[in-house]
Amino acid sequence: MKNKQSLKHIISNNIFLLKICFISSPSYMIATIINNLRNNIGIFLGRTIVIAYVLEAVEYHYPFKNVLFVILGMVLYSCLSMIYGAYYFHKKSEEGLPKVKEKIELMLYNKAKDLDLAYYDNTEYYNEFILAVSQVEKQISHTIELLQMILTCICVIFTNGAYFFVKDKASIIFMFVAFCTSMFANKMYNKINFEFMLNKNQKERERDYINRVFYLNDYAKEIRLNKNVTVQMLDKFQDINDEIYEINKKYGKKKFFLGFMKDFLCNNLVSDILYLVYLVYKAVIINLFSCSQVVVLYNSSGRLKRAMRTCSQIIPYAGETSLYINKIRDFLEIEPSIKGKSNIVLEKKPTKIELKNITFSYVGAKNNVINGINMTIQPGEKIALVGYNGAGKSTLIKLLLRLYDATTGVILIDGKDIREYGVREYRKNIAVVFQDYALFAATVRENIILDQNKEDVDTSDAIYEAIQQSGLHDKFIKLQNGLDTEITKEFYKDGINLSGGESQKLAIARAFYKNAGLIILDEPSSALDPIAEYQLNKAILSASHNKTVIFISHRLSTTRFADRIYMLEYGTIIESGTHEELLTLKGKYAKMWSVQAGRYCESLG
Amino acid sequence: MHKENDFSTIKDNLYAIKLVWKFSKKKMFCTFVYEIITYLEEVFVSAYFLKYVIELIDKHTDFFIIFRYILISGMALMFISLSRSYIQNVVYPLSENKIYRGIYSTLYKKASNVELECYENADFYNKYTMAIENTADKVVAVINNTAGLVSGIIASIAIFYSIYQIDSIAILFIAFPMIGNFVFGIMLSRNIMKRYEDSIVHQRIIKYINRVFYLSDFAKEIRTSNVYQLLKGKYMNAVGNLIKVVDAYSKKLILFDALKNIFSFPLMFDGVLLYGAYKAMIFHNISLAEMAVFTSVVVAATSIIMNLSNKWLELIKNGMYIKNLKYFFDYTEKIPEDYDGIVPDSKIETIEFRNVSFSYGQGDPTIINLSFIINGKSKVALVGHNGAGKSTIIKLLFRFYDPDQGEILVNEKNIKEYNLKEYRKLFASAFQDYQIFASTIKENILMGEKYENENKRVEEALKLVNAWKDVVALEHGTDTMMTKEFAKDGVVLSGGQCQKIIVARALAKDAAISVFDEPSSALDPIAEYNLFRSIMQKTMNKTVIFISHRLSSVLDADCIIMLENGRIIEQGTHGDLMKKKGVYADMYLKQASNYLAINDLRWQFEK
Repeated sequence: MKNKQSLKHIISNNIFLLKICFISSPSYMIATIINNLRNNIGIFLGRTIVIAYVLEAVEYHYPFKNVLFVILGMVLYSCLSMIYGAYYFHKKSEEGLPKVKEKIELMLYNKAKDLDLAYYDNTEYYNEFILAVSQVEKQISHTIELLQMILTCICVIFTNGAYFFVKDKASIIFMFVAFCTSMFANKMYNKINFEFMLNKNQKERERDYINRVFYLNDYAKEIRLNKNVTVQMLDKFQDINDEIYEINKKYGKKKFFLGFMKDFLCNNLVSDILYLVYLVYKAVIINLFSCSQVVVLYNSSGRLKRAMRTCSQIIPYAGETSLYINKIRDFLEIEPSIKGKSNIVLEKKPTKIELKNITFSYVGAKNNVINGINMTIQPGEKIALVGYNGAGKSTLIKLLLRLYDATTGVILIDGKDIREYGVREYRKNIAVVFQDYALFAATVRENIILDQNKEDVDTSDAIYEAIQQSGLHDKFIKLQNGLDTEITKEFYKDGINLSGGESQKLAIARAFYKNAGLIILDEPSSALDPIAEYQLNKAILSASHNKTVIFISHRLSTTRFADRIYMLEYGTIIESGTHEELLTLKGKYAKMWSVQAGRYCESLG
Repeated sequence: MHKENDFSTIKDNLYAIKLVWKFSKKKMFCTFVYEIITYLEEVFVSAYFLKYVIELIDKHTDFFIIFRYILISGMALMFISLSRSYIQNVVYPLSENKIYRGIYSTLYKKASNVELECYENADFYNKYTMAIENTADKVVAVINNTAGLVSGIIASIAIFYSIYQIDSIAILFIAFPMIGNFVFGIMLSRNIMKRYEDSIVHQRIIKYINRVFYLSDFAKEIRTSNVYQLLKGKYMNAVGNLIKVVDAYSKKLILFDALKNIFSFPLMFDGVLLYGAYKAMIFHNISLAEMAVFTSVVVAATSIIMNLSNKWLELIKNGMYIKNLKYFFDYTEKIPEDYDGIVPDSKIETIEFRNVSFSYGQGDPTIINLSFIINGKSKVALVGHNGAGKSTIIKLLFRFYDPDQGEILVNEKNIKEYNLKEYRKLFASAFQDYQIFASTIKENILMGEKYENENKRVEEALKLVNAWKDVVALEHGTDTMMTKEFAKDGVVLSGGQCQKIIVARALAKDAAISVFDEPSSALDPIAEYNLFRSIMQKTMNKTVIFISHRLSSVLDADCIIMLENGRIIEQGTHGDLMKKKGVYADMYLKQASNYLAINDLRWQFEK
């Protein structure tokens, strides 16, 4: 955040966001301007002009009728103005803000959906960009607030400023001196405050962690089983809190003095006390002002002073929003490196897949995760990837899906580099169940088709078939709202929560539904009990009759029926062949198999 | 009804005040001082100070006398400003820190003392989350608001008095609009509340979709499917619904808000002005100086009164937050974690479930009339389908929940008779959803327990789970910080490695009973095999209960308990159950058949 921004940059960023605001809801933005003006003009008229006129009328004995008309006119203006204000706050702004937000957020989501997955791995990028995305709402209100500040300043300086200019130019000097000195004091105060916050932030983050430990369900069991951890965490919390206490103490005195300086010495002293002395001097010694003028000038000075203060805050405030807007803009400008060279569509049929000399390492990692892999998969073949934790199996899947591009080497589908196809078009022919699949807070139907349900297409039969195959039929057939039952109770009370096993089956149903030429299953049965696993295996085999299937599983019983098994270690293929071939090889696969199957064999003779 | 609400709101506010009083009397005292001097300044400057100066000018007093007066007043204002800055920059941060410490320590203690069920009860958990979120800030807000309210009332009286001194009838011009302001203000805020309640679900959907796009959890699905369209549709739909809600309330809100403001400003302000002008111009019984001051006092009076009505609304809002906090603090635990009782004998003779039934909340029973006995030092496996009730049995045994019916006995005593803290010490456990804490590897294994020869113990446990080599390779060895919460160079371990640490945690603990619930789900076959061997070796002389889907790992159990829909359907050793040819045998064969030639086996078995 240290990077200094040029003024041009700040202005351009703020204008960028304002432009979007105007485009997405012009009537809201125009209403914002009208609302600001009517308010500021009203205050100027009511607090300065009308009072000055009435006092003048009393002093110089104008007819009462004139005063009556002026005041009634003012009342009328105020009433109309307040009705508009209410209309603005409860209708225009409440409707406009979500619309503006929708516009910007959808722009961001649209970008996010095509962004390289690698951005999510890199914490720095993640914090810089992705979290900036989560702040859109705040930035919009900041930018609109900025617009209001500018309007207020212009308005007050033009009205009150002009008034002072006409009535007494010297007064402006007082306001101006107060403005300059207090700006200087403010700067010093903010500098200390920034340092103070910086010191505190780290500690506060640590304190938040402990907060999470105590309030998240995740830790609840451990806290109850290990009383000493509770004590330890509580001690840690109190220590951190005491450290924050010391930081507060350290900065307190400095902030106290500077605070006094900015609020009183540089501000009220000049604009209130000294200014009043000046007014009295003019009234008593020079006899230039009447009593009423002293009061009106004195009271109006406050508004001008405040407007000047607001003025001085515009640039820093704009700078702050600019930093965030910059992140939003940068984000929108990222071009995903994983792009298709064309929009060639991959047909929905099993195809030949060739991996040639593939190596890959995650950004910033020292070692390759994939280290020279060659593999040819024939259309309709059933392939299993097995190996130890961290051997690179899941990474290989991600490369195949083009979630990442291989560092070196090529992947060919039907003899054509996968980078030649359109990315989305390419992925359409692959159905995948990830190890860490995610369900959405949406209906069963939507969770399976993972797309908007078009009303003229009846998807029910295909979905029922898919859940039948994944073994969820019994569960879902009983539901009152059928396929339109919401998953999770997050938004709807009549939603259902699924157990780990059921969730996994639902994720698998997606793959059955998708009817793609290639099915990839990464640990599809880890949360299932043996019977469910057994049935699932059968279902997968029968459903994928004509399809290419790639399995990853730690349970070798699941993978033994594969046409070909690849055993991976440290990112390379160390053994491959059918189950029988690999057993005869008596290598690492055979060892792994004997560890797992051995006990079953022994027990059953 | 409405009266009662307001009354309870005030009570809730008082509750927060009591809390602050307990943790920092200084904060309480200083807030009142702060608010009072702030109002004092405002009333003094707008009413008395200016009025006096104008009077002096009007009487053609000597400039230096006025100058001296302004200077003395200036000194007084300086003193006020000085104290304000001191309170704000020195007293507040320190005293609020103490309040934070006090309130959160109490909250955490309470949170770790309520029974686990509270976390699973959505209604309770919601209240709890709301209570714990920014609680200290909210409590402090109550104090600030109350002090502001009280001082505001005093200030209004003072300013009313000064208006009264100038003209007694003018008071009516302020009092009457005040009633209007207040009445419409309440109607307004009620409707805003209602609108908020109606829109909350749509707001949450929008937030949820936002989360989906920025969390990495969903990133892969978004890329490999067309779910973007679905989410976009949902988002736009939610915005549409939100606008519908706004629309439904807009007429009412505009009306109430406009009336509230019209009552406050034009009537109060211009009314008084007109009245003053009328008196000055027609009756001539108010001097110009008085008239001038009058206007400035009225400006101050309007702002003080507006403030007052805002503070009142704030009070109602704060009351709602505090209600949750109060609910949580006042909640009586069903199974308090500091439950006292007999200290259990660490030598386990028997563990018995006697006719135990249990259901979560209002749901269908998870455990139905369950009875079994586990002998000390035996190895017991719980097997069955997903959702058969295996994990629930463990939770009941740990006394996270109490059974609805029946009793659980350890050494022939109902576990309810034991001191809960001591009772829990009997167990060492590893579950698949256990968590790593942000502290060193060593601390994550010892979990705050004190032992002699701690390093040796940690080393032994890590060796048993086959993680010692990896840990020693780290720069700080067992003192390496886990996660990056507290240390930038902390390590983030993979799922499999975390599981090993969690099992090591259970193995390092001196406990009579060890419980393992799918401790190896993220491990590869070899690692899993080794892990099970280590567990068995280490727990030779202990009672062990374990849950595993991999039936080959339950072969050696002294007793296998097969569960289905919360009931025991079969029980015995592997051999017994195979002979019985029941559900277990079927399940075992199905699993084994994947490893062996299926048909031969079944044939052999049925023969």
